[in-house]
Amino acid sequence: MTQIARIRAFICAEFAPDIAPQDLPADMDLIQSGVIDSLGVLKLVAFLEDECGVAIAPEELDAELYRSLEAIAALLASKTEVAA
Amino acid sequence: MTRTALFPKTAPSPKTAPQPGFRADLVEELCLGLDRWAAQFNANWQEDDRAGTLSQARWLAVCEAGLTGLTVPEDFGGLGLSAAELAQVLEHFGTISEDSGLGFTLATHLCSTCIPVARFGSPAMKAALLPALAAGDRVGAHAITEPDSGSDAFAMRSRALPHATGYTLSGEKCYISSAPLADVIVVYARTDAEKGALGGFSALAVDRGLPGVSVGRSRSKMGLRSAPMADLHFDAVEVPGAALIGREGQGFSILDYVMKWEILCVFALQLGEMRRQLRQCLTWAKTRQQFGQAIGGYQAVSHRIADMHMRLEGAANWLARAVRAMEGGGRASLEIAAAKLAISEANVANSLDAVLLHGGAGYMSDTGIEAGLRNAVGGLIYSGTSDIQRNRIAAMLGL
Repeated sequence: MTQIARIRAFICAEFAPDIAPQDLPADMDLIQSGVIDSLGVLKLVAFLEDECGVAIAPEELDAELYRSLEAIAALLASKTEVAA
Repeated sequence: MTRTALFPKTAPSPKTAPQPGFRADLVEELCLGLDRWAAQFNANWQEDDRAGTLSQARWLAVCEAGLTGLTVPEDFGGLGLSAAELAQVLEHFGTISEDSGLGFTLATHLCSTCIPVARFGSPAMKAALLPALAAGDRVGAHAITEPDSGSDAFAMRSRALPHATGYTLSGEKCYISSAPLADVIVVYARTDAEKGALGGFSALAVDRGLPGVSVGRSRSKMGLRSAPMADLHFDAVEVPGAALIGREGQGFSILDYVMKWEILCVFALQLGEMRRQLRQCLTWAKTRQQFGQAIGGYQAVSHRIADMHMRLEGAANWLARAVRAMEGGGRASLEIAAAKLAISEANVANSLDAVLLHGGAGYMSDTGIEAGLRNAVGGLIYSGTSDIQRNRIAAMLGL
């Protein structure tokens, strides 16, 4: 399972049990739609740190960075680039 | 081994210690230095507790001892302590300060203002505020709670309407620690009515002298009486744009960051206070004679003290875990919540045991024992109640 597939599965299992992972659009606004709230962002960040091995700085606790799967993928990609 | 050797150490548990980069010499020097200030920190503290005030002389001692600059970066006149260094210094302060209110006021100053300005403030804001905050020439506070938003912090109604040159701030804040003393108040308010907790709120460093800022009368409280508290009213206060901390909409992330440091600071202090309290109880158990022997010889007393020790060291281990998690660069959400919960509940339980162990003397104000219990109860409420901490822990466990 790819990293994004794991994140997709986590979001559905934690926040949107009625949505099958394959049905979660990559550009869906997770915050506007109410899938993820403020505590949800903290849970998501903890998941990203634990499962994807990235460190999220305090300044990166920004809704825009977690607004959609696409945004989350971009955040992870930027961190991977920095690490590389 | 003598029985004396079983006394808990004054120094923090080795488990809280050293990470790479930990400046052990600096921490030791600071702790030794604080010992020399103990008399000034504690001078007539019970009068302050009775009157519900903090004497200027005791606060000046805190400033002159350099404590107001502990978290301010060195470039701005502070010491720039890491989380681990700060925890040890504040825990030591807790062991020597007999008044929780003094430490609480210090923690409020450090966490409300010094920490967010240093981390998120613009270069100009840092230059303008940090040197005076480090010296204690200006006192910091923050305003979060409102009459209709406590645990649900982001239900707050205070608004900071953006305009060309800054913000028009209006709203009510209540139970604001250090409000009667503060020169700079970090106010959390809604800046975007269309957004929720994430992106809808911002943090502003508001000068208390601005027209429209008013401070209510000092609140009377169960404990922490020497840590003054009041309500605040903001009546169309014109706040300059330069007072915005970080970016507009960043209030949630700033508050999340600040609360971690607040919990670290306040509960490191409490840990130190619990160590001092346990030493007092041990001394009492060894010297108080009843029915022909020291009361420590009775298991009803010795087992109670054993329980106090276990709670204290369990709490210390949770703080150490939280410090390690913070220093590891992660969110530390679970560890911080667990440390807050463990220490606050241990402190209440130990403080009640301390009163019971001292009997009638423990119930009298002049021994200072009962103040520990009154002060400890607040820890179950501020910085996120025990229920909220359990919510956070459960959420991080996947519930």
